Amino acid sequence: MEAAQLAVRIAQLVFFGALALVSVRRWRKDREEAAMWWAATVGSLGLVIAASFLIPPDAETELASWARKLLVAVLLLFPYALMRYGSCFVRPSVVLRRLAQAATGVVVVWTFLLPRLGGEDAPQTTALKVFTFAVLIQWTALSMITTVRLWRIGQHQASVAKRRMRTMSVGAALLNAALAIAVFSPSDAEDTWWPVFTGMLAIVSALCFFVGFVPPRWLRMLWRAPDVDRLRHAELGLMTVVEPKQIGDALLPHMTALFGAQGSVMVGRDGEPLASAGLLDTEVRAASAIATQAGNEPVIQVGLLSVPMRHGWLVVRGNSLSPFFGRDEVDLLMGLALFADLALDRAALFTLERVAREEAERANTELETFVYSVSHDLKNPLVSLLGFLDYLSEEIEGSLSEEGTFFLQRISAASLYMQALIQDLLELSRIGRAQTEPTDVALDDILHEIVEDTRGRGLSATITVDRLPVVSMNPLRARQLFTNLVANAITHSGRPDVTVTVDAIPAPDGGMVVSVSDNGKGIPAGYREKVFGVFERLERQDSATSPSGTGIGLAVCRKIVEQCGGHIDVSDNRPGARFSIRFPAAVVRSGAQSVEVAR
Amino acid sequence: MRAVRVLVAEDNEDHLFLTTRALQDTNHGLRLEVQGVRDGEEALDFLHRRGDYHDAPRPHLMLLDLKMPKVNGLEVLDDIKNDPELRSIPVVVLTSSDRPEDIAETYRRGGNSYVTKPVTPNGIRDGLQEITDYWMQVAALPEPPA
Repeated sequence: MEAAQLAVRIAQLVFFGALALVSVRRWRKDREEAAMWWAATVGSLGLVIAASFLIPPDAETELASWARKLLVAVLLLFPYALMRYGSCFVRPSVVLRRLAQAATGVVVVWTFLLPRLGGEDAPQTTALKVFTFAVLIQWTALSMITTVRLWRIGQHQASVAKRRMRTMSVGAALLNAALAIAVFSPSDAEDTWWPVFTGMLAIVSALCFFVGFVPPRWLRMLWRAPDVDRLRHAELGLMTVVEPKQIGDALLPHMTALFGAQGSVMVGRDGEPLASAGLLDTEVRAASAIATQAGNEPVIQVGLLSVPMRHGWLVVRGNSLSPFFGRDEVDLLMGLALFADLALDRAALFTLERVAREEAERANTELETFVYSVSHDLKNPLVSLLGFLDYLSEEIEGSLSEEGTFFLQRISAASLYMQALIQDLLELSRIGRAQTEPTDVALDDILHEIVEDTRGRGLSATITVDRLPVVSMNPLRARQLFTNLVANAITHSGRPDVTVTVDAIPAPDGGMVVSVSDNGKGIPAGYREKVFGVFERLERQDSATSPSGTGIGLAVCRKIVEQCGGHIDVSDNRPGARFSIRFPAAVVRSGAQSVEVAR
Repeated sequence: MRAVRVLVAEDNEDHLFLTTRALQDTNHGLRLEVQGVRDGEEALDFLHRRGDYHDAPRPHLMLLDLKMPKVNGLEVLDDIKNDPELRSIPVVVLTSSDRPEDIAETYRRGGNSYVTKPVTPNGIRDGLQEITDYWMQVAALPEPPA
C-alpha cells in the first residue's frame, strides 16, 4: 500500500515537474502574459509536489510547520494562476477578478494565521476544518470558473486550438475533483486506496494539461483532420478560378473558418488587398499594412497572423486567442499560402495568355482593316485612270501611231494588273475577316463544279476526281481553294495535255489528306515553301496579262486551309507537283465518297 | 424630249467628272440633267433645299457614293429613306467597295440597288449605260417629289 502511494507521488512529481519545466521554457522564450500565467500555474503544482518530498510528514518542528504553510499558500495560488491564464483569452469582469483576488488573499493569510500545520497526530480542530472548507470553496470556485471558461474559449477556434483548450479544461476539472475527494475522503484514509486514487486522478489531469499544452504531432494531425478536409475543399475551389479576386473569394471564407477567425485578407505584392472576407475596409487596410511592413517574415500578433507568399501575403485577423495558439496556425497558413501561390501562378499565366491572345487578335484585326482600307482606296485612282484612258483613246483614235496604240494598251494592261493585285489582296484580307459558320461541304460536289467550269472555259486538261471526304468549312472558301489549285496546275503545267488528279487518303490522326497533283513541270525543291508567300511567283512577269496571275493564289489557299486548322504543302509528283492538304480529324465529317472521272 | 434629273453624290472629282460625262453620253432618247454634289452634307442640302439649293428641283434618280467626308453615303441614305417626302426617290449606291457588309447595309437601309464601280477598260461608261438602261428603260421611274 505504501509502495503504491509512493509510486503515485513519484509519478506526480515527474509529470508536474516536466510540465512545469516545459511551461517555464516556453514563457522564457515568448514572454507572453498567457505563457507566464501558465508557467506559474503548473510551476506552483510542481513546486508543491517536489517540496512535499523534502518535508518529512512526521516532522514536528516549527520550521516544518512554516514550510507546510508556505506550500499550502503556493498551492492556493494555483487556481488563481489558472484563472489568470484563462483571463488572458477572455477578460473576466472586474467584480469577478476582485472576488477571486480577495478569496485567494483571505485563504493565503488564513494559512499563516493557523496555529500549527501537519505533523503526526495533529489534532483535527474545528478551526482547521473550517479552514479546509474555505480552501475547498476557493479552489473549486476558481477552478470551475476556469474549467468552464477554457471549454467555452475553444468553441470558435480551429480544431487544434479547440481540442487543446478542452483538454486543459478537462485537466482542471479532474484536478479539482482530486482535491475534493482528498478533502472528503474518510479521516482514516491514510492506509486506504484513496490517496492512490486521488494521486492517479492528479496524474491524469497532469497528462491532460501536458497534452493540451504541447500536443504531440500525431495528436495534432488527428485533431486537424476536419481542418484538412476544409483545406481540400478550398484547394478544389482554387482549381476552377483564374482571377486573383476569385481565388481570394474561394479561399478566404474557408481560411477564416479554419482559424475560427474574424476574417482574412489576401494582399498583393504591391500591398493592395486582392480579396478579403469578414472584415471592414479599414480593418483590411490595417491588416494589409502590417503584413506588408513585415516583409518576408510571418507575423504573430495579438489577433493577427500573417505569412508571406510569392504573390504577396495571407493575413488572418483573429481574436485574442491567436497569439498563444499561433505556431500551428502559422504552419497551416503557410500551407494555404503555398496553394494560393500556385493558384495565383495559374491566374497570372492565364492573364498573360489572354492578354497576348487579345493583343494578337487586335493586331490581326487592325492589319486586316488596314489592308482592306488601303486596297479599297487604291482602287479609286484606277477607276479614274481607266476612265480617262477610255476617253483619251476615243479622242485620239486614228491619229495615233502603231507604237502609240501599243503604249496605250500597256497602260491599260498595267492598270488592270494593278486592279487584280488589289483585288487579290482584298480577298486575302477577307479570308481572315469574314467569320462565317462552317457547314458540311462535300468536296466531291465542289470538284464536280470546278470540272464543269474548266470544261466550260475550254481548257484542255484531263481532271480526275477520286473519292473525296466531306469536311466542315466555309463552302465558298472550299471552292476558292480547289479552284486556285486546279487552275494553278493547268496554267503552270507548261504543257497542253496536262492531267490533274484530285484524291484523298486517310491520315494517321483520323484526318484526311486531299491531294491535287499534276504531271506538269513541277516546282523546284528550293521554292516549295516560297510559293505560298504573298505575291510570290516562279515565272517572270513578261506581260501584265500573262497567265501567271498575281502570285497570291497559293497564299490565299494556305490561309483558307489554316483557317480550318489544316496544313498545306507541296511535294514532287515525278513529274509535276503534288499539293497536299491535311484536314484535321475535327473538320472531317466522313471519309471518301464517290468516284468521278471527267475529261 | 423629256428631262430626267439625276443627282450624283461623289467626293472624288475625277469620278464625278467621269460619271457625269458617262451619264450625258448615254442614249435613251431622254435629256439627262446631271447635278453633282461633293459630299453627303451637300447632298442633303440639295435634297432638303437648304442654302444655295433653296429652289433646287428634286431628282428623279440619285447615284450615291458611300465613302464621303462629313456625312457618309449610308447616313444620306438613312436620311432620304426616313423622310416621307424624299423616300420615293430611287437611290443607286455606286461605290468602290464590294464588302458584303456594305451591300447588306445599303439594302437594309432601303437602298434601291448597289453597284460596284467597275475597274475595267470603259468600265465607268459601260456601267452607267447599264444602270440607266435599267432605270430609264426597263424599270419605270416615279415622278420626283414636288
